[in-house]
Amino acid sequence: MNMKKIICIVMALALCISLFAACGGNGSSTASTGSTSSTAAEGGETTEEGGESSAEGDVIDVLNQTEKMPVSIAVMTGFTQSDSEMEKMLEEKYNIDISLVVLPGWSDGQSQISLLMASDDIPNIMWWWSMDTEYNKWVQAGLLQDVSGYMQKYTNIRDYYDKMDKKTLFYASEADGSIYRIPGDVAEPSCECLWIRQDWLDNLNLKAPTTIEELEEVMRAFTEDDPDGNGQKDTYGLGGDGYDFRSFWPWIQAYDLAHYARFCVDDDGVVTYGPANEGTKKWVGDVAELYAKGYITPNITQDTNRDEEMANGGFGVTYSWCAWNNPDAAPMLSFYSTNPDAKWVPIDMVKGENGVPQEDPATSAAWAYFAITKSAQDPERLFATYDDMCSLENYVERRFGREGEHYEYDENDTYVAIVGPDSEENTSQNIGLKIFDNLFNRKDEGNISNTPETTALFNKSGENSRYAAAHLVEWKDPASFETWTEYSADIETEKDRYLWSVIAGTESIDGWDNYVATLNSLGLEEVLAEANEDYAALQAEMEEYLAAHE
Amino acid sequence: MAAAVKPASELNAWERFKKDVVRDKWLYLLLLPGMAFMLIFRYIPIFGNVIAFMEYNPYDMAGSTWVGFDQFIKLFQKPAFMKVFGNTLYISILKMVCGFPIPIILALMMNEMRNMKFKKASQTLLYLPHFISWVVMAGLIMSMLDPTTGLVTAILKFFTGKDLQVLTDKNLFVPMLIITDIYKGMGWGTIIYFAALSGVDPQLYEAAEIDGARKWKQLLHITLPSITPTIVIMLILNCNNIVNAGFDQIFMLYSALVYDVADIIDTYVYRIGIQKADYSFSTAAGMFKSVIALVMILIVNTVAKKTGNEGIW
Amino acid sequence: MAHSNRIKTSTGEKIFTVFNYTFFTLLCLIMLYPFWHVIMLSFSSLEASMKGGVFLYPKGFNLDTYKSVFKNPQVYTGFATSIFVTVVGTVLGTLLTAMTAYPLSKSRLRGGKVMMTLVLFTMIFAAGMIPSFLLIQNLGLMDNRLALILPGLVSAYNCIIMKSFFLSIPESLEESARIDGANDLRIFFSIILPLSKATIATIALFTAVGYWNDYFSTVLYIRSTEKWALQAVLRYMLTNTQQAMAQAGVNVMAQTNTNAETIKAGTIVISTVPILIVYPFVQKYFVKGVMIGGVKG
Repeated sequence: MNMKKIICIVMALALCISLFAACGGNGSSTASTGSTSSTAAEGGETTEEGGESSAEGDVIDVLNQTEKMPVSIAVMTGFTQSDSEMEKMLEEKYNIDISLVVLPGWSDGQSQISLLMASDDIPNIMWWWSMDTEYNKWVQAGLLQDVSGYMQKYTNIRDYYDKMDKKTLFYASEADGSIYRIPGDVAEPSCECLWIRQDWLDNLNLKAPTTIEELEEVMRAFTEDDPDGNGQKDTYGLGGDGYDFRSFWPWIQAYDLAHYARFCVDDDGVVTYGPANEGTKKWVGDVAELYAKGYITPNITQDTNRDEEMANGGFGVTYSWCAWNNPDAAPMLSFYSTNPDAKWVPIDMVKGENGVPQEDPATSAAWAYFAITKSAQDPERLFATYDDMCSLENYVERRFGREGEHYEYDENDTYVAIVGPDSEENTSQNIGLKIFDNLFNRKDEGNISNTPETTALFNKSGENSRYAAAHLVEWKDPASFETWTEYSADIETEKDRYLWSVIAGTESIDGWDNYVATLNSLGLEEVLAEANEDYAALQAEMEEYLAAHE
Repeated sequence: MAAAVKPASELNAWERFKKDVVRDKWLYLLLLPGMAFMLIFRYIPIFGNVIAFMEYNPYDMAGSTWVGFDQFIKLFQKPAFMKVFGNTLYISILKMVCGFPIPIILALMMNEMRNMKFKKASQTLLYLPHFISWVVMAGLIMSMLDPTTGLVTAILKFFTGKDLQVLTDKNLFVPMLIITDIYKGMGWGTIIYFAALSGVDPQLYEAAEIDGARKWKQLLHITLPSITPTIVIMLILNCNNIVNAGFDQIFMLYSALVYDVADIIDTYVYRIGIQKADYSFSTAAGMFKSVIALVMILIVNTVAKKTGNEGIW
Repeated sequence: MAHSNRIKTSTGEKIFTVFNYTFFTLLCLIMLYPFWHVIMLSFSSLEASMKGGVFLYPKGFNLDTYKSVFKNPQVYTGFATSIFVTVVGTVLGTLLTAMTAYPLSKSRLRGGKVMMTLVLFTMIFAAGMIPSFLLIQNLGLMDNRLALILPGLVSAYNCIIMKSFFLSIPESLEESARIDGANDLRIFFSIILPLSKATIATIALFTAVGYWNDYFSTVLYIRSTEKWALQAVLRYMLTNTQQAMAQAGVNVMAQTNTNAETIKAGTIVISTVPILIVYPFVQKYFVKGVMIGGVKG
């Protein structure tokens, strides 16, 4: 018996040792990959120097390349079938071989991006959204290519962003001027406005609301006075994408220094955390009250889809995209096909307590980025190729197809889709319009689907969002904001939990002080101390950059 | 039994060992792939847990450093983790307390059925949910609990008069987890007890009938004692699950609205580890969980043996 | 005395019997209804699905849902991957489990106890998500369907069931074969395996269901959408409604008689059908198999 036990222990030990040896082997092999990555980074630097020295001549002619270059690209939305017509067109044109690495949707997407970046086969072009901490680690590990040199030589992307908003590239660049992340999609200054069912207003003899109180009264009437005249109480005032605070924007903008996620800054330059401010207490309280009264669709507290509920004719007010004003907007087409007599119209933002009606301002920085990674064999050619794809006419062709074949213009010069980028035919015929969506999108005349009215709507929304924009903080490098990196996960989890619970009615707004105390115990006070310091430094840095790029 | 082939006694231990190994070479050959599998896919990951003692950088492994117990210290200092640990225990203990007796009762009730066709049919239906994935179950649950069209929502409204949104209500989410877990597992749970019940000697019941013992008495004095060993073993195996609150189920159903009550160690490990690429920290969390499970099963097994029951080894 | 006693018992019994049968009838209905509901929903019209309520039969019967579901290329690739993974995994896994359990059931085997302990230990100490993931990555199996198969091949639990079944086979059968000159390999393949049909069917069913229902391995190990398992496709549809519906070819213009609810229902149905088809045939085996195997190692 004892003998057996001893053998058992010896075997277990042998096993351990052999396994440790195996791990050791792994360790050394990984160490070697580590060193290759650092040489790759050095290589990147040398090519960059080369790029600068040859900035005048030596531009790669991407249309006349004899060697076929494999290109793997991570994509989330947009067209995600392989070997589409557009893909083949690009492959032929630039003599490349494209393979799409499709990310598994929004809920598991960031996991997959993390996994891809930690693997041996990183796509040549990586796309991601809001992963600032990870981004810094990638840069430190030498996984991304600095493209600032290439941007001087191939200027389609740079010119576009400098034309739209000079701050965009400031936010994308590092302190030393290098650029590892290329802005993937930057929204219009504001791209949303308040939408209302005009036919319901008419049915109930109501006027379009201009103040928050009037809006709430309209919502009451829409809920209780049977606006669709079917004799059933099956309508709601406000609807919106579920589990998305933006659905409540009219109440958020009604108060100063209120927000659901971002840091706010007052006129004296003092930085505060929006979700912990008095203004937020007020808007959440308002919304919770309306929700409890049943003026808001019950689904809004769950991760549900607005478009479907809208097609059912379930609600009469929503805060949504200006682009809905375009005749080809899919949710609207869907809505009108089931509700032919109805009418949604965009109206001006209603006036709240602070007296400054504001639309939701978008950030100057991109919400999604892409980068050329160290796995690219010829980063310069890859950048040059991609940059060429971003020129105005090439972008229009890739996004909307060819005039006469995929779209045409009517007598008012308005874009009419023959095969729309969102249509079923695009999938079933494997055309591939909208390929690489979110990896560079033009919001200028390149977005040909905007009608003049929609463009005007965008402009108005943009103008009416500057007051709000001036009071919101935009960080350049959230990951260097150390206390935030450390505590943000806990703080944001608690923030989301509490605010949604109040709206859903499972917690009381009376617990507000408790909530703020909890945030502080999770580190918010430290965060704010650092935030105020960082903000001052950031302003100085930005002014310097903007002066240099004038 | 090994003695059956034991040759002359003058052979010493080592020679006997060699001879036995040669004799059973084909058995070792059969065993080889399975053990290799266990080594590679079960033991290497167990030793892979060493990264919990490192600051592991997945993007640049050369940048990884040894940090001793730092990750564990960080873990215990994090209020979020303690919350998650509490949730795990709370959900799994509730699941066990509510879910454990049900299969026993069902098996005993079914055992009294004389109509074999009915019994077979109901067994077939009761086992079914066990074979359905949590992905599909989640789809069914979401459909039943849909705030506007869900059938269960309508039933709840009928009884409470309120529009209850179970999936986002933190007071209702955990009960929902418990009930759906029981729903999925209770039928399958009975099968083990059927196995035990079929082993009871029918003569015992005949003897009891002759003695005039009623059904109730028979249950107490014959049936229950004969399935007690099985109950104890199932209890021990269940204790191993005290830190497994059901990853698949929760992962498919939860949202930030109910993180407060539904976030468990496994979902936390996934979010911090895979999503945020903090491999070391989340491995520490996972390892802590495994160690608790191991300790639990050792304690319960020892207690079971001390109290005169059979353990699992 | 005994006579009267018996009558008394049978009245009590009668009440219990009535209760028992009623109870189980209700329970079975509760078990069945959710499945019935989605099946009927998947055949129902858009309007009916929006109203909700009880679906005892399809309201506004139509096949548009399935027309849409089968337009989605991911459904086909999902089926292909899941079938491949399930078939290969089940055959290999069951064989490997039997091969491992058989020698371990022999008490004469030197080191057998130690190896059994090693197997048992994997049941009570789990390695954890990240180390398992790193292993697959270091083996170079990322985005390879093998990553969906290999980690689940043998489970300690199945080994124990198999082993205790082998223990119940009388030694004498093997002895007579041995006298005829058969070695252990031949005994295993030509005598033991054919004897173990019920247990093997049980293990095979467990393994197959495990593979068929697995979606998380896809989340962790697979990148290319054409290699996704069906369950992962389904999860994607449940959590990314809008995108998934566009891919499924559900025209947002609502020309078809479908919406997200019916499409989800249809996908749930087609991903469950294979289990529902196989299940009744194997059911008789697994009840028997588990009964023979018991739980005790």
